Amino acid sequence: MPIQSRLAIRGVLLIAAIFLPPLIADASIQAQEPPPDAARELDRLARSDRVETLRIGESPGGRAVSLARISGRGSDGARPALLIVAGARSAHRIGTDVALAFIERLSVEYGRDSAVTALLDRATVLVLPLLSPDAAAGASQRPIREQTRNESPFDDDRDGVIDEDGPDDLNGDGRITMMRIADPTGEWTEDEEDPGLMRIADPARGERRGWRLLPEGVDDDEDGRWNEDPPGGVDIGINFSRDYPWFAQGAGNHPISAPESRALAELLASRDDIAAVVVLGMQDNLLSPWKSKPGDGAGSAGEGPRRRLRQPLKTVLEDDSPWYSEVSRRYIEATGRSGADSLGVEPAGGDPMSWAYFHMGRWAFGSSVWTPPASSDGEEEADAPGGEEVPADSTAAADTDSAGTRNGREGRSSKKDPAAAERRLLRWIRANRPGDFVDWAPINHPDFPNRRVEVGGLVPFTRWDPPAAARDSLIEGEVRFLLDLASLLPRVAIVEAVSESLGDGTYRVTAHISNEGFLPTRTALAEKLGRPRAIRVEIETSGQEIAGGRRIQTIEALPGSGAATELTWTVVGRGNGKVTIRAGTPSAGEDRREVELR
Amino acid sequence: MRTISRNVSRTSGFAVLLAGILTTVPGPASIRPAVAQQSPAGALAGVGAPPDPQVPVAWDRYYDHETLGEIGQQLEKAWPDYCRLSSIGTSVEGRDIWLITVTDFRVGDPDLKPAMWIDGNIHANEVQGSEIALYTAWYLCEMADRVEWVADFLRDRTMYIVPTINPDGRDNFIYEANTPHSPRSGLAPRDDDGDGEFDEDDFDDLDGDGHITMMRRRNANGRWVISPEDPRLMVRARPDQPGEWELLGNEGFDNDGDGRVNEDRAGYYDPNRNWPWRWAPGYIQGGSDAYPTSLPETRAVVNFVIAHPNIAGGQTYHNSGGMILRGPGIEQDSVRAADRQVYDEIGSRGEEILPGYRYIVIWKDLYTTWGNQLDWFYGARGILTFSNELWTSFNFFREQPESERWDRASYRFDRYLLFGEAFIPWTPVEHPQYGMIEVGGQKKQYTRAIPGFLLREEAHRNMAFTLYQAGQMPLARVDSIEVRSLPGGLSEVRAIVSNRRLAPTHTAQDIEHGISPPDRISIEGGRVIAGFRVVDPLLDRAVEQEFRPQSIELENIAGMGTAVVKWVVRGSGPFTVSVNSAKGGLHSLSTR
Repeated sequence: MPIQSRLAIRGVLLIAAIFLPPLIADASIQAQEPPPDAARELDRLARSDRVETLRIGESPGGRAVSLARISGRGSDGARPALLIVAGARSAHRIGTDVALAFIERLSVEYGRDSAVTALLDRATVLVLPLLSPDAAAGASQRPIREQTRNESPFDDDRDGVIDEDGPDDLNGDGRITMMRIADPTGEWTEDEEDPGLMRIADPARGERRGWRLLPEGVDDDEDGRWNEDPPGGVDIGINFSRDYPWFAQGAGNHPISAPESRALAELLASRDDIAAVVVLGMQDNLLSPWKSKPGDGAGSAGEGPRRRLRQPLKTVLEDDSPWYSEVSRRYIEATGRSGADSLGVEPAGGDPMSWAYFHMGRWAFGSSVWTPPASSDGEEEADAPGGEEVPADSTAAADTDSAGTRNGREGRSSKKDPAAAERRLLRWIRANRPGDFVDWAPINHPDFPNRRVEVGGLVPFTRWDPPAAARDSLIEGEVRFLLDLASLLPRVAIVEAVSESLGDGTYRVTAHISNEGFLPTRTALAEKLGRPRAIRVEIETSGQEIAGGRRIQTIEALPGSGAATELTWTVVGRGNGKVTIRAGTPSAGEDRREVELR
Repeated sequence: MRTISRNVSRTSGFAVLLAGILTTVPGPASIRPAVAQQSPAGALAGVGAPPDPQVPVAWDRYYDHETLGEIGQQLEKAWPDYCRLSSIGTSVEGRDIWLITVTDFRVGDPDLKPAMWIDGNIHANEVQGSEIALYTAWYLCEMADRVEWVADFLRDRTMYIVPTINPDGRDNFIYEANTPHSPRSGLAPRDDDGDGEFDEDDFDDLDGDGHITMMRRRNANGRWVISPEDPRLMVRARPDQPGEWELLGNEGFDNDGDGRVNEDRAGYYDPNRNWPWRWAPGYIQGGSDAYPTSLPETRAVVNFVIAHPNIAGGQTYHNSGGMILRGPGIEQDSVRAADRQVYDEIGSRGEEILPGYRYIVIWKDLYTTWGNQLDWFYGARGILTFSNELWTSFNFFREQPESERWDRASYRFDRYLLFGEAFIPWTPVEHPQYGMIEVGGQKKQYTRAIPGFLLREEAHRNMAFTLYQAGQMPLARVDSIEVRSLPGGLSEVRAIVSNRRLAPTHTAQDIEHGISPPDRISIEGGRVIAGFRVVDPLLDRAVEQEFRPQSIELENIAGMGTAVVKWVVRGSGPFTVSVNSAKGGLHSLSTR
């Protein structure tokens, strides 16, 4: 059974639903609202003069992949752009909400708020609020399930029939959860602390097996496998090329195989002005910034910034890492989120965030916006913007601090007992959203007439949808960060340009090219990649000759905060008495200075 | 005649040939004589060549994209039972990517027969792969009614032959001024030098002869001298010897005024690094382009191969060096042990069929390549795939030249066998930036492309190797059915299914990742009570298949292997047992 083996490989116990993104469920009252219709909302926002929408692709279901472009005066190409991507996976609806709110804020505040006005006059903001519109549409249908795939047909079980065995709502509650079948050959057992929690039994600890665990459904095609060929094809959230999960369910046939992922890939490939990318989704490097690891990327071939590496990088380049740390600090400051969040964040692999850095060379950031507060340490939990109180349950309170040492296996840290985090999550859900865990209850299952079968588990979307009361403040925090980040984009400027006479109509022209923004003009990785481009500097003459220095040259990159480099030219002849220096690159804007020869 | 007249302007030699067909070939009714002629009128046919081809093609030259398609059309017209021409997609510049499907269309569904994929010319300058692929289609069609092996082969197999998967680059190589090494790329515009402009500083054909050769300038302080062996050859002056010339690279000047020459040519990427398996970004693998399958030509092939799970073997022709390459392209990847055995068997046969060729592994014996085509075929699709590097310096004098003398051999070959035709003598020209210089050197079709008089032999030998591989693709057959009566009016039906070929129905890579569907053995003729895989036929140890017992699933049928299945059935027959193997084909057998 692929599903079970996947769990077993990870060595993770837990509620199986958590690792079955298509099948996690939503049942809390607010989460049963249909997801926002992003397309309609985008149309509404596009009525603003500041907002233009572009159709950059089409999903297999025929839905537009739309990009909003928000800008003030000026035109693209001569200034950097910030790209926000959300909705790669339907479960992460809050990301789309943030993206749309950001568009709205920019369009409303332009001309009213001086910071927003300045920002949009200096940079272009691109927002792709819903990368997988098919998945979002599927997630709004009943029974409610976390439809993660687009609508391309895919024969998951290679039986020549397509999409013929998806999950089924067996208990009639309108949503897909899990089912467990009492079976001595099953690998699963009930957690001793929270019998609602299923985990793989470990016979070496004296744990008795007794349950099979499967997504809720019947064997529609009678092949002895349950829900093994669900509707749809590609999960866009794992269809990108960095650490692509080959042959995984929903990954598609190859990286960037889906029109949605290709639309994003083409966008980055064709626009060097995109200096930074923020992905609102299931990966995070803003609470836990990427750190470089000494030795990673070592063994490179050749010399100089363009030298090739011998194998893929596992971690961010050392030269880029300080900027990731600083942006993370600013993110935590803007949002008030805890730096210790981790549950609710998926490991990278085929995701758009790590792809945008490791394969496209951009500054790439990922925010999960919200994770269940149960995943934080006790103290931080109280401050978490999720807002809920920790349940006044002494066991829970103690457990949140040191779950791993209190659960009967003394001396084990919570990291070594992955069930601990799941217990805390479940405890939080029971305390705050009792409707979001369906207690296991028996049903009659046509495929198992002689066995006890129970349906229950986490309902779809629970892990990703923040509490209704917290939504506005969460969105506000993210928007605050995005506004801040947009102000940190690199900005090339010619800060000083002078001429000095060497006598007899010969001049030495000196210019200081600087980056007045905060982020470097491109990542150190981009220098190796050659994309986005280096800064191009050109001196234009009229009637003079350049005796020293190059007419056209490049500066690989400039770190931010006013860091400058000096260039000189020797100009022979007065010509019309001046030369013009231009410097710029799409990801950091451009500048131009005339220099009087004297 | 319309297509022919269009052709005249470009390849008049070929146009004459085609015109010849149209005037001399009789009508369709008499195209295929009842008794195949063994010799053309007035001659004794040599073996290994169609004596009287319906589509005469001169195999001593390189055809442009349009003519490749026209030859495909002619083959389809002359041999409608064996050949169809179609397109699997279009290139960056809108050219069709021709597919020539060769099989016996009268027998079975071509897309359900075990199939071999053949392409060539992914690197634009590596032109002859197209001719070798096309020759294969031509030979099979022209010989299908004459050689029994070919007739049998086409009944059981399908050949998907795509002469060029880089048609834009091919026509650029043929019609634009180039070196033997340019362009490798396709023609999607790329900003190679990062200045925001695309393809703005290409080569310049300074002497207007259609070739990009070398530039030299007389300079008493230069470090080069003319070789005493051959006046066309430049060699370094000895360390203590003054030179007479400086070498200035390939013909061209600084078109965009940035102080660099020929640094942003048409293209430039490596189409054979754009494939999804083990694709790596440019800081690891140069030329891989922005993302895997960013190029429409790559996507066309990828989509076709995914849609054709019957493809069980692959060959992608390159030049040069006389190599029979297999993956992996990087040290970190691997070919599974069971698959290596099949590769080794076919590869070493290839060394015999192709004298001067070595069967070697890309990363270990050649160089590291991330995201190459054949690794995608094997890694992602589980298809055993070779890449032959066509043409070898061995063929100059039928001996392996010492590597440092390689270019000397090419000069001697030119002198004694080509009578100096392959080189352009040094000729003075005025260079806009360097002043008076001289240009000269090899023509673009020399050293990598095969000299015309040797092309046909190289085509035939490489085809023969590829047909050996194709012949060894799996072939699933229901060998026998035994029926035995059981108590209560039941029968036991036992069938032996075989694969009498070297390659398994599923490579180990395929099995590991569940790429192809399992082989399915099904029964008709009774109500199936239970079905079994017989895991030990000698002792009749069987494992029941609980679900869908009428169709027993087998993970694999090994190369030269068998599988035994049985059913308990109500009814006494007659029974029909069928095997359905994605890569081993379809076959049925019935009891009386």
